[in-house]
Amino acid sequence: MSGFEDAYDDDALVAEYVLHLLDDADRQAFEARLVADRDLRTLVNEWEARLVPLTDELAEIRPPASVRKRLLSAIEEESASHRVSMLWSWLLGGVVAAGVLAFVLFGDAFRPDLSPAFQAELASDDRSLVIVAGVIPATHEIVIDRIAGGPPEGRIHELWLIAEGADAPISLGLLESEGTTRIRVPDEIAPGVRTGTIAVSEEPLGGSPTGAPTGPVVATAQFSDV
Amino acid sequence: MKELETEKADAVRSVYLDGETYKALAARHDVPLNTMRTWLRRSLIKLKDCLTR
Repeated sequence: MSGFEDAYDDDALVAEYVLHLLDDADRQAFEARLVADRDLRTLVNEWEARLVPLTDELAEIRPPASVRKRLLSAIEEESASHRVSMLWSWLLGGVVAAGVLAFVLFGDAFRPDLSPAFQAELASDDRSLVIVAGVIPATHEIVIDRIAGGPPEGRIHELWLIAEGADAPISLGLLESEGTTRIRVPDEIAPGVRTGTIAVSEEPLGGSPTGAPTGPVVATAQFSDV
Repeated sequence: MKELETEKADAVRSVYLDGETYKALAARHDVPLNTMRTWLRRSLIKLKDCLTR
């Protein structure tokens, strides 16, 4: 698919990339360029933000409570079957190790830019709690480093996104009590992260039972370019 | 979005919201794939122009 290299080429190409319209070869070539080209990454962010309003036309559907119940029981079953799969994971270990080696040897050319492009510092007023969050656009991941402080005994910190113009926060996930947490942001939410506000609240273990923050909000911040 | 012709706006929408491919779109509108691509790319640029104006 070539022969369309006209004046507004890059802009349209970025739009196609964001819309998953590129074929494999074009997408790989584009991602290789993304690694080196900051302007191109900016274009990607702009296009993602530009297209989000299209989802405004969709009616919101609230999943029934029974779905949550089934989901939770499915998770419990899965952790039970985990033990059985230990043997399998041991056997698979060798295969994975071979794959990792192949990636280390040959993967360089395919590796997207995995350094954070935006960062935010979440800190309590007295700085007894300091958390640094970085966004890796290529993988839609937020990497959260806990620099100081942790939740009180029997509580957990939950990360929220309040998208620009949104009236309710969306849960991004629970934070480890120490060290680093990586959170993969769903594709439909990702474009709103850069311009939104993120917040950390204190919740019961297992996270907010209501889907909205129930405990005190200990820190809020906005992302800025690294 | 309103300024885009309905057919083209629908195409952009179905690509974004339903994950349609050029191939599927071309088949649905009964045009060659390359025509579909040119068409949609123009629509996207027009969409951008509308939004940034």
